[in-house]
Formats: sequence, C-alpha cells, structure tokens
Amino acid sequence: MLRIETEAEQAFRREVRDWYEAELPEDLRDLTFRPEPAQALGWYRRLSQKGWIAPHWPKAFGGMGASPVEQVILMEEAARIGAPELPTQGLNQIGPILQRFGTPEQQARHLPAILNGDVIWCQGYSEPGSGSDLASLRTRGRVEGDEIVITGHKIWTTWGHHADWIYALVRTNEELPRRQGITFILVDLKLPGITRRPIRTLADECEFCEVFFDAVRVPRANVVGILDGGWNIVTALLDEERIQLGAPSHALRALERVRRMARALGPVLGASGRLRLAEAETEVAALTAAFLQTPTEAEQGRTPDASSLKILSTETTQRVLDIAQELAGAAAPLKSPASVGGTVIDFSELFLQSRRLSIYGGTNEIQRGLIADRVLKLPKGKRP
Amino acid sequence: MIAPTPEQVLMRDSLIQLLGDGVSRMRGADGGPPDRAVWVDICEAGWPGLLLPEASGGWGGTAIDMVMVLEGAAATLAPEPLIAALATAPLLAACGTEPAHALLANMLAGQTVVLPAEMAISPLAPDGGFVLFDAPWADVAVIGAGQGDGFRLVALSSAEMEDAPLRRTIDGGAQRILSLAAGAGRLLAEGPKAAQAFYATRDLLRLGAAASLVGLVARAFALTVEYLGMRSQFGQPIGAFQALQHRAASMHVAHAAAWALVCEAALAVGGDKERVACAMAKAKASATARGVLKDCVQMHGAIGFSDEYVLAPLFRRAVTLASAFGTPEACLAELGCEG
Ligand SMILES: Cc1cc2nc3c(=O)[nH]c(=O)nc-3n(C[C@H](O)[C@H](O)[C@H](O)COP(=O)(O)OP(=O)(O)OC[C@H]3O[C@@H](n4cnc5c(N)ncnc54)[C@H](O)[C@@H]3O)c2cc1C
Repeated sequence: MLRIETEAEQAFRREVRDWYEAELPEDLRDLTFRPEPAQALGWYRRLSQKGWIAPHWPKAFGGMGASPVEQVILMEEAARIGAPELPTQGLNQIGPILQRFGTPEQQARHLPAILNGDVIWCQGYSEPGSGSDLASLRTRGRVEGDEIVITGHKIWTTWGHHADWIYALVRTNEELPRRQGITFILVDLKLPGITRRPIRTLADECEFCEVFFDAVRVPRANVVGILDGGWNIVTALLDEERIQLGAPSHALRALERVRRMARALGPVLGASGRLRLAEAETEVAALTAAFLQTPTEAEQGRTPDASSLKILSTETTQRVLDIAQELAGAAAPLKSPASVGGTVIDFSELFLQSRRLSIYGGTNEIQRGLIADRVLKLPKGKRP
Repeated sequence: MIAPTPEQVLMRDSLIQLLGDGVSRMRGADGGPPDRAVWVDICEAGWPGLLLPEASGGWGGTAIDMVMVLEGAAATLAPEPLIAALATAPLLAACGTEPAHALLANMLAGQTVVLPAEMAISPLAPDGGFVLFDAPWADVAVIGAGQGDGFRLVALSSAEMEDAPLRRTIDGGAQRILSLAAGAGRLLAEGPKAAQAFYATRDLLRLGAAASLVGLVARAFALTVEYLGMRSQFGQPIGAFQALQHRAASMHVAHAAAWALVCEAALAVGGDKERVACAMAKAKASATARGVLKDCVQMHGAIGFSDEYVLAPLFRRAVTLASAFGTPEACLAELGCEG
C-alpha cells in the first residue's frame, strides 16, 4: 500500500506486526501449502479470539467491520511473516451469504461456528458435466415431506475431505427453466449416504475431492432462501467470492517470496533480475490500489466490478510467480522449499498452485465474458 | 516445415517403443534411485552412440537426427537421461585420453551413467558451483571449468558427489549442486581443444532439451485441441467459443515458430553460428513451453489442474526441462553479450 497511513492505521499495523511476531507458531510460518485442520485450527482460533479472523464481516455478526485499508494491513503483515493460508469457504463465502439470505436460526447456528473454527465448510457447485455452465447441474433434490433427498455427484470440492458441512446446489424442479429449478441447501457431511474421494492436484497436494450423494436425507429447514430459488443466491455468492478472490493476499504472499529470492541471489540477480523484481512490486501495488477501491459496507448499492478484480488479482499473482520462476534459475523446478542464509525460499509450489487461480471462482474466460456483457455492454451476438 | 525422413521416423518409433510407459516410471521415481532396466535396453540397442562416428562404434547420426528423435520421445515422459547421454558421448570420444575412452566404453555398454553438470545459476549456489540434473542417475559427473590452456574436464565419482544434498524436482527427478575443490576428480582432458569439445556438448544439450520441449508442447497441444472438441458447456463444444479458438490458434503459431527454430539450429550445428543458434533454440523452446503448457491447463479447466490426467506430468516435465541445460534467461543473456 503506497498511500500515507493515518496515525490510527500506523498504530494498527504495529499492533498486528508485534502480535504476529509473538503469536504465530514457528511451524506455521512460510508454509507453501494450506496446513491441514489439525495443524491450522489452533492458529485459526487464536486469530478468532483476537477478533481478527473475519476482517470483512460486519461487527453485528462478530466480524471486524474493517476498512479496506485495515484489511490490506492485515494481509501485508500476514504475507511479511509468512502466515499460512486458512480455510476460507466459511469466512468468504457461506458466511456472507447467510448474513444476507439466511434465516435467524441459520445465522445463529452457523455464523459463530465459522468464526470459532468449529465447522469447516466446502462448496458443492461443480459437477463432472457442469463447470462454467453451472446452471446445467444435475444433482437431484427430491422433496419428501420436510426432507429433501439428494442424489448426485459433486467434484473439485476444495477441502471437501476435511470439511464438516457443504453448501450445495441441487435441482429440485425439472419442469422449470434450468436456472429456476435450483435450490441452495446446507448439508451436514456426516449424514448417511455421503462418500468422498480426494483428488491430487498439479501441485501434488490433495486440495480438492469428489463428493457422492446417495439418497441423502436433509431437513428442509436447511434450504437457504426459498425452494427452487437458489440461482439468485449463487449469483450473489459468486460476486462475493470474486471480491475475496480479488483481495491481494495471494499476490502479496507471492511478492514476499520473490523479494526473498532476490535477496538470496544477491549480486547474481543482475540488472535484468532487478527489473523483474521492480515489475513484480509495481504489479502488486496496482492490484492493492484497485482492491482499496472496493466499496465499503457504507457505500453499498454501488456494484463493484468483481470480475475485473478477480482477473487482476489472479493474473497478478500468476505473473509474480512467473517472475519467481525466472529468478530461480536452475532451482525453478525444485519441489520443496530450501533455507538459504536463514531465509526459507520456495521455488515451484506456489507457482504450480497458482495455475488454479484463473480456473476456480468462475474461470477468467468467463469473467472476461461477464465484463464484455455487464460492464462494457457489448452487443451480445451469438455468445451464450 | 521440416519433416522427419522415413529413416528418422523408424528410429524415433523404435525408441518410443523401447521407452514404453514412461509416465508410470516418472510418477514412480520421486527422487529415489532409478530402476535401470529400460536404460540398459536403450544402451544395448546402441542409442547413446547416435552422434558418434561409425568408426568409434556409433551410428554416425546428425544433429537433425537427434532433434527428430528427441522431439518424438519427449511425450513418453520417460525419466531416462537420454538428452544428456546423446550429447555426452561425443565429448568423451573427443577427449582422446585413456580415462575418457574407458568411461565412454562403460557408458555405451550401459554400465555407467555419465552426466554433465553445468555452471549453476541458482539462489542455492550463491558462491557458484555446478548443477547436476537427473542426479540420482549419475554414476559419474563431468565438469568443465577454466578457460583456454587452463580449461580442465574432470570426472567426479558418485562417492565424490554424495556430500551435496539431493534435492527433488517436480518431475520426479532430483538435482545436486556440486562444487569442484582444487585437484578433485579425475582429469579427462585439458586445454583449448577439450574446451571446444565441452562447449559443443553444451550446445547439443541445449538443442536436445529444446527439441524435447517442443515435443512436450506438441503433445499437450494435441490433447488440448482434442479436448476442445470433446468437452461441452452451454450446449456446445467449448472449442466453438472464439476466445478459445483464438488462443488455440496462437498456441499453434507459437509451436510452429519454436519447432522451426529448433530445426534451424540443428542445421547450424558444426558451423559458425552453432553457439548462437542452440542458445536461441533453448530460450525460445523454453519460453514457448512455459506459455503454451499454462494455456493447455487453463483450457482444460479443473481437470487440467488435477494430477489424475496426463497434462499435469507433462506440465511439470516442461517446467523442469525449461530450466535445465541453460535457463532461457541464461541463454538470452549470453546472446546479448555476444552482440
Ligand atoms: C483448485 C480448484 C478448486 C475448486 N474448488 C471448487 C469448489 O470448492 N467447489 C466447486 O463447486 N467447484 C470448485 N472448483 C471448480 C471450478 O469452479 C470449475 O473448475 C470452473 O467453474 C470451470 O469449470 P470446469 O473445470 O468444468 O471447466 P469448463 O467449464 O469445462 O471449461 C473449460 C475451459 O473452457 C472455457 N470456457 C467455458 N465456457 C466458456 C465460454 N462460454 N467462453 C469462453 N471460454 C469458455 C473455460 O474458461 C476453460 O478454460 C475448483 C476448481 C479448481 C481448479
């Protein structure tokens, strides 16, 4: 962040930095992969007790109600110390959705559990045949009295094998046009009839999985919004997800790694390496500046251009990690991080992981289509 | 476009058949000691002698032969150190010394794997050193150091490499950074003639890696084009979306340019522009592979990011090979110096 910080903001930054230095356990620093729940949840709960786990949630729901500047300070300090990536589906997706669309009972039951780290959530949208074209989804939800009986197959579910609950889209009405027969529902993954299979990724980690539903009986009270009315919620959630994907946290983390690599290279970095580093710094500064423009709660009503932010953030992170690959020279394909002069440097893992950023949360091709339609209002032609 | 001759097609196909299911050997390796069964078959068939004159027991092949064969073999993802073996045999043959001769004989017989190490440009080697790719394979590493009359080509035995940490790479292999203490290793040759042979081998390594990278690009791109026709979203094959069509067309153009440059460089081997040509070919093929493979993953969506599909190991091999035998940045930097 380049702007002059107010005194209060400076004080907040110092507080965050000191607290991180004192509290973040050594074994959670500089990890390239999201630590598994057993390792991560203690830290999640420390952040929660401190009141910093949900900077972007309103105070009324137990969040910080933090300004964009405060959010960026938290992200910058987390990147600086090498804080780990935590499970985000609860905080960034279903939490905000329940705040907007959930019943008071649903809010009371689920929001505190997200803040406290008692429940890990995952997202059940994609299916083998339905990715970008989400409205074609085929997982069935048959209404039987006060239950909905779900049968079908979800895939690419991030952290699905670690999660306790899934929020899913199911087709409850075959008669209606395809966007109108979809219901948004909360499902306890302990229910009978659910099986899960982890899938390894390009980065050689188990980040996502398949979830199979075989006649799983879910109380109707778990429907969010109204039956057959899930599509509005999806659209709202996707925007929410894109703003969070538009946050500079990944890019800041990537930039920190490039800075470290440059320091380790020392004079070997050379003139062209210094240019690359400067490019990375500039790109991340631009992204951070754009994120700081997102409207705060008080300014609601202005629709943020969530698609632009998603593209900018994910492609900035990818560019920074491409630069890391270029600077790493012969070390570029090394699988595990190594310590050089007391600093941990990683070479390939963040780079490999970063390929996912332009795929999930609506691919960047789909985002470009949305910008063409919704922002630029270009003629539609035969585009779907 | 340069097409392989019928003889080159035969050669390439017989090698591909020998290499067999390279993907599962690559996946199984994970930096550990390699299974040498296939390597022994390759040596028994005479492959490391491809570029040796027939008089020295080789096939008398050309750089173009090498490029055609390696381009085709790359897609097998076989972990065997083929590029290094093909390029190193002529170096050992050129030394004209007894130790080099003995080493060559053992290498051709498949008993000793001899791999060249190159000057390290790496944050892990702040004080210099030499990177040995495919280190778990190496029984002997050859290192060239010094200039002119002071140039020395030495061989390190595996015992002399053990102290350097073995670091795993994402393609299932591993590398070490070797240092060369004064007087260490066995002298194979010295002086300007040895230096010349050493740099010729470095050119062949770059060219061989470039050809393999283009082969990886070709395979990944073919899979992608096929997928664009197969996968449907919004009621039509995704290949019908112009955003993807244009991208695929750009990938096609990029592949063609890289392959043309690799073939051109092969035709430059032995001439004045050999060094420049091989550095250009490696830089271009590496940049093309990095770019095209990323687009291939993107255009597959989530399945492209899954390790259960063959694109993931192709991607990891391409990333690994792009930084091996001269990073694109190092190759370009060298071109800049030579004006
Ligand atoms: C790491 C990771 C985590 C994920 N986590 C989750 C999760 O937790 N929950 C969940 O539900 N899903 C998750 N996903 C799935 C993700 O939402 C989908 O991958 C994404 O929506 C794309 O769908 P697809 O993979 O089926 O690709 P496809 O839709 O088949 O797309 C293939 C290619 O075609 C392009 N394309 C498609 N339509 C068009 C068009 N109209 N115009 C131009 N180009 C087009 C795409 O951009 C892409 O390049 C995850 C994916 C990844 C990679």
